[in-house]
Amino acid sequence: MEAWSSLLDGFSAAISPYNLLFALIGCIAGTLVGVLPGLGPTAAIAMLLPLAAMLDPAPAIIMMAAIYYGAMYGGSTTSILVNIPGEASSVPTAMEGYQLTLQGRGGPALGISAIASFVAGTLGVVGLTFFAPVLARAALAFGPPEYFALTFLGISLVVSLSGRSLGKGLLSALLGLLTAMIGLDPLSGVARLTFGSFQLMAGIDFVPIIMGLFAISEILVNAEKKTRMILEGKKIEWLPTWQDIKDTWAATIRSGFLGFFFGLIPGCSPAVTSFMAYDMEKRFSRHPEKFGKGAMDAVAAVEGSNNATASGGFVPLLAFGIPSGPALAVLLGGFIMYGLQPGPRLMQEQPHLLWTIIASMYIGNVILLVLNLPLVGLWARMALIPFPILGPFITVFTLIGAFSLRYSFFDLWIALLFGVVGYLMRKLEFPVAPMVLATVLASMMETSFMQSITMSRGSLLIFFTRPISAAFMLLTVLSVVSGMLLIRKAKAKNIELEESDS
Amino acid sequence: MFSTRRSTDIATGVFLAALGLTAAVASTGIGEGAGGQLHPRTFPMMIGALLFIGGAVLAIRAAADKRGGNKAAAWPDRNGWKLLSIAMTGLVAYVAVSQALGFIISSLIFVPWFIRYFGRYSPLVAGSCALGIAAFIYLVFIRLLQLTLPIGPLSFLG
Repeated sequence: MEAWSSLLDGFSAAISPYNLLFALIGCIAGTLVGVLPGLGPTAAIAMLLPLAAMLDPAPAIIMMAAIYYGAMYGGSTTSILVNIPGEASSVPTAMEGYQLTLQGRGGPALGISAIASFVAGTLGVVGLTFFAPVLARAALAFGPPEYFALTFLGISLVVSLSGRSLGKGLLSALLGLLTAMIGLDPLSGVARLTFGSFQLMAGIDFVPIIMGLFAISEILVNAEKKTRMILEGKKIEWLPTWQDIKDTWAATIRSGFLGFFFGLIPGCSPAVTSFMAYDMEKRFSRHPEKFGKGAMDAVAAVEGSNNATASGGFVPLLAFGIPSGPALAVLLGGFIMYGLQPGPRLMQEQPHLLWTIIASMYIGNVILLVLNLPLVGLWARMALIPFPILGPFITVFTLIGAFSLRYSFFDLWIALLFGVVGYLMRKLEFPVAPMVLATVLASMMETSFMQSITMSRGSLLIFFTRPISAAFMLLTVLSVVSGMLLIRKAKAKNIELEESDS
Repeated sequence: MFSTRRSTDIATGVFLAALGLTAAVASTGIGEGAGGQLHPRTFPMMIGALLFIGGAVLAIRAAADKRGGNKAAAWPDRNGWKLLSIAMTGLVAYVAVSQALGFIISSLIFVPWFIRYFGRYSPLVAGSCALGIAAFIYLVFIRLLQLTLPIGPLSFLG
């Protein structure tokens, strides 16, 4: 009851024209940085901090929060339309959404992505409203062994999704892990596999890798075929049908819950949630055969989980002052700029401000839906642009996006190198997703493994004696076994088909 | 050569095994870290070793699969290779020119070249697209988002 009355109080402040204006500015800025590859919410919030300093705390934090979850909405656009995932969490969206664009269903995919983002994002805010303190305490039970087990589970799930190319999926993950080993050791600071190169000391960032593997390799594949139009058929749909919504609502709800719970864990990458939601949906889907060829429920699941993770991330931030990722760390900086320290004391001392921010997130989600849905048809028309014109635009935006991360031309060469790697992986039928996730998670995986081993004084049993970690390890074994059984089943089916043909 | 899936899998397996071996051997030279239960070389060496084993298994299994692996590899034809190398050269040149002359000038060269070569569009279409993208880089990336992009001789615009 107390939460209800506090929320209503928050709404009365959040719907003031002044606060609404900054929620709208935040949503537009977030969508824009989400659409432009490489530019993440972290950079956008940091850029707007000087503007925020001129405002009162409530509109400033409302605007910065809106940039954060608005970027999650925008991130799907380029993934679906031109196969450029701006960050690792959009990779599964690109894998399925771009296939839908090629089939003339880019518009419905964008629409479903916006609806799933709205529904799951709102679910996440409901969780934040009513269960924040209790859930935040549970999330703090995560120590290094649990993080290691979680990353291990994430990578094994993606490898098990490789279907018949399980071995190639494993090699792809190992290649990603090896790439991430280049640079300074995260714990001791010792240079590894740098071969004396100064530039390699800083390591290889995963964003240029993703951009190379997806966007640059796409340019190469289309240039090789001298493609005129990326669309495969002549039929084009602009908006999702009721059938699309009916087919994807369950995936949206499931991924909303999954995304919210994983969003609670500080430091848990949204990429893990996206891939887990993708894997879960493939197992639940009535049409798992469509995965990899354009599955609408996969787009809903991944985008839903992304947005619910963004909402879930506010729980440890507001309850304990612990940011779940870099963007929320900058947002924490915004709170501190006003002399506010998120945590239990803020809940007692500034309840009005806190509930205004939470209420503004409900409104922000509605603004984003209203802002994004009418644009769906317009964005989808991008697929009608002939490839010889679209190609150089993709190249320029991708490379500027890769450059803007660390302002380094070295990252552009890395993007080109991984463009060639991505091209070869397509031709040699190596799945790309395990490599991407392994590159993203390698540092967390290694650091948490080292810390766990130090905690247990060298014993590996620590991963099996703590309940959460043991449960993740068990799920890892189950996912690998089920992956192997699926391959066996598919092989048996093929042999049967061959025999019936002959 | 490398025209079947079997031969490409053998070559890829050998390459990955060699890469894994190189990484594992290079890891032996990694220096001692400060404290901790495990040496900083542990992970890279382990991954290198696993990549070596995985690559070797891929190559051996492909070599043994004489019946099922004769499916043709998906390589382009001669013209495809030519177009691929031209696109790759264009991309390399774009990055190199951006480094020297900045993103605006390099885009003004790269975009119309790509449109003209791969699409045979008129100079007017190619030129308009080039000017559009140059304006977008300047107005959105540099002015609105305040990104510090190199703009070479056009630095007076910054």
